[in-house]
Amino acid sequence: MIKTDVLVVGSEGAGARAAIAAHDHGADVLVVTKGRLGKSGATVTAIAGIAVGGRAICDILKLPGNAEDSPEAFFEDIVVEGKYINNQELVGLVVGEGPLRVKELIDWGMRVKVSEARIPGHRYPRCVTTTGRQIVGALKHRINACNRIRLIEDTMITDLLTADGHVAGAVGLDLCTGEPVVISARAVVLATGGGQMVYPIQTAPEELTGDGLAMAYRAGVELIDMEMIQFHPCNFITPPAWKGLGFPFTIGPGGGLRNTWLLNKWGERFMEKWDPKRMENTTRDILSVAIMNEVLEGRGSPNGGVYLSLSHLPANLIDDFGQWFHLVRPDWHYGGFKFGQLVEEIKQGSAMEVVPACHFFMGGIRIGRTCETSLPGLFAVGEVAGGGHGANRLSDVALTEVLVHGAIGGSAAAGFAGECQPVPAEDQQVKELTEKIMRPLARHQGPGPYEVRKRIQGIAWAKAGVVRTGSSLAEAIAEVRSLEEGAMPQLCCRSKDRVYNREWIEAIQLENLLTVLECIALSALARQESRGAHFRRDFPQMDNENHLKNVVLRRDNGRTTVRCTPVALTRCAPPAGVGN
Amino acid sequence: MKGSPATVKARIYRIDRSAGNQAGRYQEYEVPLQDRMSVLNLLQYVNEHYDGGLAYYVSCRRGLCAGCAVRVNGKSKLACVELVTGDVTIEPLSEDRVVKDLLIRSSHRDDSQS
Repeated sequence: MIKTDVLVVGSEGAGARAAIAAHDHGADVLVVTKGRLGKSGATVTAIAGIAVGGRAICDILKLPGNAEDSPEAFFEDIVVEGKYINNQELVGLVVGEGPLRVKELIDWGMRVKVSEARIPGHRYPRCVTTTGRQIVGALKHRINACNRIRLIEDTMITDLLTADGHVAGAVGLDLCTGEPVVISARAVVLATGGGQMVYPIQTAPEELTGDGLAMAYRAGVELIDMEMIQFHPCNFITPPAWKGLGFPFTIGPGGGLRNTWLLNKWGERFMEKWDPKRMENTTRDILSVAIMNEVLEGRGSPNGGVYLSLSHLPANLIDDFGQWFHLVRPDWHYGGFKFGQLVEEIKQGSAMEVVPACHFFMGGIRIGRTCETSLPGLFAVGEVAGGGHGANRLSDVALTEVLVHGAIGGSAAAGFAGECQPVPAEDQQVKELTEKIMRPLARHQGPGPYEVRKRIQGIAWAKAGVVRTGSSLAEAIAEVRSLEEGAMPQLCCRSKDRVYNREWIEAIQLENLLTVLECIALSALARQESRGAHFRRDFPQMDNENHLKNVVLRRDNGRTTVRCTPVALTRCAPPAGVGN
Repeated sequence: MKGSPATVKARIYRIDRSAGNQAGRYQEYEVPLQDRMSVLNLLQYVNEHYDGGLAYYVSCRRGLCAGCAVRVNGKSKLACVELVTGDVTIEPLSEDRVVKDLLIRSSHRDDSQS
């Protein structure tokens, strides 16, 4: 058994910042990650804008910002984008403390430029730009200087331990030895990101399987607004190497070119039905819903998307665009990929096949102002925590939140660890949870994990994806429960290797994916309206009279309760009489 | 891809030190070739269809985290961005640091880790 004051699960943006904060508040810290430091998680993949606030860029970063902006305007923009169901206390923390956290990261070595662009949804230019690598680099450098932070990589935490109504630690699997790991901790900080892998196509990294969400839920912790999932509208659906990549969006409707066409298989510009004025330049949520509506009604492209066409644009205009647009390089390199040949095909008239991809979880573990959860001693930071973004996240606020949450949650966890009397978890609990890890490896027959993952992702996409209805969600819940009772207890790995057996890791993750899917569907069913990222075909309007509220899920003794709680409108209320 | 073969042969370096093997071997797999398929796509195909125990690291799939670096036909490449166009040999970056197959020990990993 490993002992620590504070266990941080997840090593990147939010987790790294939490570890540093807990360390600086006097705790012994253990960071455990399923991946590797600086080589995993969503932060490193960010093509990174960090929203700071125009005036704060001037006053706190001492850089040339837009002084017309104010913290009040920034606050309002977040709440307006979140369709007024944000936890405004959390919004206040992000706006108030964000600039200090960004300043600190610059002091630790992150290089930034002030962006003069006004990003959609933001009234003023208020972001700095950097790269995910700069952010994780600065955090990693700082972590290495903290002598009371221990790091364990390649180790998946599978479940929380509890004792006397407190968190008591966690169990997991060392992927490189195949041995269970038991950790006793006075406080635990979850920083495991979202559950994007529940869907078949994602912009997010491979390991975001909702582990923190699901283990918290299993431990009886409250989740909030799990139906609120942001889909990024135009990503490659094919070829395989580019699947999920947002290059089409970068050069397309929400990116640099303002006159690109989305076409269904009949060649119709279907955006006419959704937003005849703005057409393809409408907001991301409307684009995603419109695209998936075409797909679900049988008017999609062969691989299950729609066509993004630039064929009406002159070839030399496209060449010139590559020269001036800041997000692509003149040689058409983007991310790690080379798109020169593709651009030649586009200039010859080929369209790209695009589809929405799961991008971000607004919902998550319900937290209060110190990132505390409903389980004493358990804290949640970054994307795994829910409530701050409401029904839709404003661009470039994710990284601000990651840093703010990390600092708050890490220091609160250290404070909690310093005051609590540790109670060890019962042996029986440890035994059950470690045995659960080993079961898929021990079985000799049953469905394979990859086959079951495809089924889960298929249900999620068709029935609890971008476009939802009451009946599709009810079917999703029924199918999830049938998998929980049928395939899941019989999951069997074909490979019996103990060391870094990917099939075994997948089998363990599937329980989390299935739990997350069930939570999404239950919450989405309870919200009988459309709001922000949540679209119900049977309730297409926003309904402030009945649904200006949060959906809270909790599992207790194997039973799930779904309740709706009123939103605390502390500073910003929706304009009276507005229904959509 | 007109005129290109429907499948490719992938020679993949395999070793499991925990099973007492000190020397690696190459195992050959036949994998359907798709246009613009990455080395990572190929590894995932082998993992899902032939051997669930094939070890390799993957995270971002976008050439950003650099975790999936392997040797492809002798050259160091990121598996997620390197495209497969024909028969291919895939090996770990460093045989000395191999944990299993293509997975090498992390530079941070503490050997005293339980």
